[in-house]
Amino acid sequence: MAATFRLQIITPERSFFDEQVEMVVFRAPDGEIGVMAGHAPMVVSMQESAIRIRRKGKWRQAAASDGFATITQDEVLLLMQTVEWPEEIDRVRAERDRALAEEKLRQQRSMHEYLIARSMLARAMVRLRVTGRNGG
Amino acid sequence: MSAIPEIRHRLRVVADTRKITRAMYLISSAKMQKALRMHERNSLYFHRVRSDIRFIIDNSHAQLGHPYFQHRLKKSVAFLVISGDKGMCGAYNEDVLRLARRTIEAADCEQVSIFTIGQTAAVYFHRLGMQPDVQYLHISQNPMLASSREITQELCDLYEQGMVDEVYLIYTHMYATTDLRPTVLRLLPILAEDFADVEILHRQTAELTYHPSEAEVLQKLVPQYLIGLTYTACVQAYASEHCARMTAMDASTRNADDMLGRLRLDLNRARQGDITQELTEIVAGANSVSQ
Repeated sequence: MAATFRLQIITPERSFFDEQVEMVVFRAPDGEIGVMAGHAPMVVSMQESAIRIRRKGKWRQAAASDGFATITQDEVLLLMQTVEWPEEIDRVRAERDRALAEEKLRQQRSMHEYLIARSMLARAMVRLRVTGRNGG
Repeated sequence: MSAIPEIRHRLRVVADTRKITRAMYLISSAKMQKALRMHERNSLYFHRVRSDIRFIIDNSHAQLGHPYFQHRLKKSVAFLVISGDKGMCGAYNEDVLRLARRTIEAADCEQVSIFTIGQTAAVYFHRLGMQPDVQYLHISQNPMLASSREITQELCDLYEQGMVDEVYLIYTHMYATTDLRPTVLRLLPILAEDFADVEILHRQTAELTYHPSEAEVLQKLVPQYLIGLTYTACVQAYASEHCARMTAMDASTRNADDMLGRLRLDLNRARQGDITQELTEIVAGANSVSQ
């Protein structure tokens, strides 16, 4: 049995996850970061990604938006805007969001809108990827 | 007697009004259940994110270099006032708007800009002659994360461009269903003194590492925090509004019941009075004929 730590994932709309886990993997701007128990205290900025959680030897995936992670001695807190399990994702809607975001990127009106559209596209891609890998 | 049709008419009117207040009471109590669920889920985020920011402030021994943490000389202040779209909710709108007015008038700065969420806030400031700069409609009826993101983005842009130096939220915080308190909350800049009442959940540790860099983390963290805060305020206001409306409508339904009881009594009294009078007249008539 590997050492565990408490992982909490909270969004403004709900408390998504709060359990003892062995490892969590998420994406920072420069690559993926895996956290296990006893990690040094750290604050990490997160990008839209499929976060992976290992609990009791099993991996689970969830589609997450951008956010940040606070790692302290005995717990990890992920705060983000939205996060979903693969089974909660509406594939059709994600597909539509992707098309919409791509269209907006093509028109590219201002830097500001470009950034919004890019983050929307990233979220849609993560959702599609997460559902695809899990028997979608 | 002419009193009877009049009383009947009033009875009907009061009964109709009672139907409306009763329906509004039921609607509000259903909406309030929804609002309470949102409130419950959101308050966890609110507390965690605040304690996290405090943790970061406490553990950053160097000055936080990000502009969001810098207190500029306040020249221009923005207020985001959240109220309901309609009345019929007791003193809810009145209370928060009065606090907003007092706060805005007391603000000692060169320029004030007012952002409103909710119809009543817009109308209120319009009537006072303080034209709101931006009015958001429809949000107070249905608080959503996407709309709070939009508002926050706009406020952050203004802040970054130096158009405003401070941003305050004025909304009604629900401590309990019977304890609604209009509150002023500073959104920007983020100052350590605002976090004095926040409980610390983590133990003090060695200096925090930021990954990839402090600036980049704060660039992500601060807007998230602000969006969460705005959303919280919207949810709180929504829950408070329905709570207030439920209480107000419950009270008016009860008043209507009292009134109906009194009117029915009056009606019966008047009818009996009529009958007695008629009888007296008939008896008097018969007497005069037989004599």
